[in-house]
Amino acid sequence: MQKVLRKRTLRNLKKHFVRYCMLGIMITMGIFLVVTIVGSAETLTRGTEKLAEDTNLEDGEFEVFAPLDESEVEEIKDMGINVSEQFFFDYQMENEVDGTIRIFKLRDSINKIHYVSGNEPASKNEIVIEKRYAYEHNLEVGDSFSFAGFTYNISGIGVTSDYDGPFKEISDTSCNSKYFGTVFLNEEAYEDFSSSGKTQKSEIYLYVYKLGNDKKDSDLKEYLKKRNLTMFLRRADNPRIFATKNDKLVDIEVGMIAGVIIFILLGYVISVFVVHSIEKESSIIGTLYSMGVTKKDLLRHYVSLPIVVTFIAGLVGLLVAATGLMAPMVAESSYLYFSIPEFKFNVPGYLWIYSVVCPPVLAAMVNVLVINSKLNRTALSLIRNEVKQKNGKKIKLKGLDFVKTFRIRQMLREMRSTVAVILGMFLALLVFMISVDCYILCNNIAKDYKRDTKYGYMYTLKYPEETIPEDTEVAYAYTCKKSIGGYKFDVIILGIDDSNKYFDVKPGKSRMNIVISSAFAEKFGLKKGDEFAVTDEEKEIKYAFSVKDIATYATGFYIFMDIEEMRDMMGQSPDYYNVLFSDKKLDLDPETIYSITSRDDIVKGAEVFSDLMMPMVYVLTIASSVIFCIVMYLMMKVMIDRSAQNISLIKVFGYRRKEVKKLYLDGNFYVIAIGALIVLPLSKLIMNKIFPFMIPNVACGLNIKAPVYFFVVVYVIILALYFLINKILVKRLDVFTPAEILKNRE
Amino acid sequence: MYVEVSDVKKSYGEGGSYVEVLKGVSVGVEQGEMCVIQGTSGSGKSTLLNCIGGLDDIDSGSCKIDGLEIAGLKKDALSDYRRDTLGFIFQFYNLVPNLTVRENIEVCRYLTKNPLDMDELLTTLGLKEHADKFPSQLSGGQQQRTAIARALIKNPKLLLCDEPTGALDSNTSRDILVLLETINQKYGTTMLIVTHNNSIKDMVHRVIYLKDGLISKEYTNSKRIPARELEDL
Repeated sequence: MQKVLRKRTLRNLKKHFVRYCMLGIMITMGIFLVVTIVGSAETLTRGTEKLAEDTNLEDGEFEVFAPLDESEVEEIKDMGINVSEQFFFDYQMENEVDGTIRIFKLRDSINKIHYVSGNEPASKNEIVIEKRYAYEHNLEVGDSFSFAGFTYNISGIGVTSDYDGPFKEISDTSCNSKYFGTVFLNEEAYEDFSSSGKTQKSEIYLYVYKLGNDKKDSDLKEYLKKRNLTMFLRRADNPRIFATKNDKLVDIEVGMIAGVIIFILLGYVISVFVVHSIEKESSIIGTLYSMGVTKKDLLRHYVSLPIVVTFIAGLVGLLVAATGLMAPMVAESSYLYFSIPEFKFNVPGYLWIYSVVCPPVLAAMVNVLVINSKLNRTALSLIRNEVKQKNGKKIKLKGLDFVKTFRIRQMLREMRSTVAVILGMFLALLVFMISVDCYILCNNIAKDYKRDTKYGYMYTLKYPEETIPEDTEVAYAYTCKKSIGGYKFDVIILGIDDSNKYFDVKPGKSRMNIVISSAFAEKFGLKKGDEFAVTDEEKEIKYAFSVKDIATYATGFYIFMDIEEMRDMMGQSPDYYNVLFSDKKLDLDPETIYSITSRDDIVKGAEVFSDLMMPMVYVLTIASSVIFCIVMYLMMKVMIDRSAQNISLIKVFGYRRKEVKKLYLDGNFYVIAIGALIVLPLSKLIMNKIFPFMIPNVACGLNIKAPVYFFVVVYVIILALYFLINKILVKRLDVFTPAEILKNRE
Repeated sequence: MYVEVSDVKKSYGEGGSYVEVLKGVSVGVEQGEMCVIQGTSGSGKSTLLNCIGGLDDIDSGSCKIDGLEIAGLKKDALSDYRRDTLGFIFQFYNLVPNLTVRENIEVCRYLTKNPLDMDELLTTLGLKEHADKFPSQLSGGQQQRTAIARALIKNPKLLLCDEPTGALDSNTSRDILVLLETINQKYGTTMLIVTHNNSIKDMVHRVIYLKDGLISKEYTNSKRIPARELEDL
């Protein structure tokens, strides 16, 4: 029997080739996108892990106010911890558009350089430039590179795992290699620069370490506490390290889950077709039952085509994706943001299994669930094709005109297809909302950062100047940590005067009741009156606060406190400060400056987000539109096909095409119009809740509020797509001639 | 003549599967007459009915209804003809399963500006208490009465019935035929009834026999028996 049925399966495939082709293409596209996106993410993740291993990535790093002496270094080494100097200078390039370079010595043990082209400098006149900075400034091996009056020949372009994410500051929200990059000199060249008198800021005494002898970070930190420790950062807390991997973890999770959701939807769409076939073939099925064919046989028969189609489609999608056709495009944004070498695209084993197993298994499960009840009837009932109105559909409709009544009845009859259309619209909108939230977030960041950064320059100092420079505002900044979603973020307690012209904040005289920035509130879900704590990792204590107010300030996670209260809390002198804000550049002693942040740096850094996210925004918008259109087209078509007999019947009575359309097609307008009205805000609301979990590693607020006009525009587009599909399907109504009704209906 | 069919030919298929179903049929039916078309399976009786109903094209010949030549009419004109002139009753009722009795009748009421009174029709056909039921909740007879009500609501001049009692038991068949007879008398509706049932010929005005695509016998029934007295249904 199965042999005969198998032949029929092939004939069915031939008969409905276009339909299954469209579904197959959607599944192929789905698998192709999942494998390309997840495969690229895995390639980058595994590639950066291997790179870290090859270049001996640090386990952590720390800064000290003054260099450790030899005996201290020896004591650390005796603990079984390998420690290495990685001192550096930050140098603001003469031409401001070239940003800041961070000058290191070459490394020989920890965080070694991986050369993407060229070699290590052979003399003091040669330099290695970090890959992203080199790319942004069109620098290549053999070019010359000048700063501070020195000119070097570029001997190599490279990357280091400790600057995988080339953030200038640990607390930066984004990196922008146009304005920041690392360079490496040999020891002699470094010393020459150091002693040239052309340094703009003090040298930073950074050490990196590798743990050994079962030692923990805390053991080293405990030892360093008695020294002049200014910063201690474990590898896991360093946003520069494994920045690519952390970014891609979300792609992997979202890609896999989105794939499953889409395959369930497509499985459901297929089941609508299968149910339609079963209803059409009711008498044949009844006859087969009466001849001894079992339900199991038929279930297997009806499920076989969806399984075969989804399996082949999945396999094709996988094979095309495995060629790496679109992988460079998908990975491009990462290569243009993170400082990593290019890795060869590779599809991990589990993705091969996922691609060939997931679509057919999900299609089989959904179809068996849906079809089972349809085949669960007696032979006689099937032969007679008894149509039983379900109780839910026996709704009395009174007081409505005929057309409205008819449309409602039709909608109730086609509930399965209606559900698929709404579900398809919901899923498509959910996918679309990912791109919308990305777009809105990037736009808002760029806009809000510009609006909220009122100072021209922010100088972070090692210690206060003897006299406060003119036209500046002083502040006291202290960095603590707060975790969310497995990621630890810098939170800056900023002590300011009520009169500070750069911040529209009145902290008030309290250590406990403070004002927080809106970015901090959004990221950590804090509201007025909430209590929370931040951790001072250096002192290993926690500070608890209560939110008195939330200030509109998007550029960072800030706790605003009265400067006097803060000095008192931190045990500093009454005139202590470590930050200067000013409108213009200040002429300060370089030795006193830790870092300089300009308004331009912040604004340009924010704009990077838009550039980075736009390819994904486009891909998701197109993918969601395609899903929406295909699901709507297929379901509306199946609704018409299921009504073939009734359409030809009313044509017999004298209904014209316009009237048939009014009854059988136009009613869907209300399904789409009302459905979109509910599903559109619902999908945005749900995505607003999910979105933070998709970008847990991004250190910024979550201003993803969409303006009302956005919803109006999307709503209009949905209706326009509906009308387009409606127009295409009108022709389908002509296929059913009055003669159709003459075919035996029993 | 209200229905004038002249030398109508109709064939299907090509080559080996070519079948000439009507080989030159000419029939005339007066307004207000009830006419039965009988014949064996494959004789062409349903095809003739479908050609008169504009559901099937004819290859050649002429088919005039109330003076209107329907052969060669375009799709919209055919729709108008069916809408304004015809009522159809099928063997298997062809009710829209997701509409109630009243709503099924509304399907045809929607097409006319001067429909019959819905409640009166429901009462006449004994459907008043079933008006809000769905087809699946009705017996075969009730379903066929609904189909008749649907056909009659727009007060058609010509009622085409294809095996109207073919799926019904004897008593129910008689009820349906009594109903058709009453309608014919009450509204003066011309009726063409295709049937296998030999007894129905006794209640109608004209009887036409078809055999192998040609009229083999045709006569006017001078001794009509009322439908309620028909036997062997």
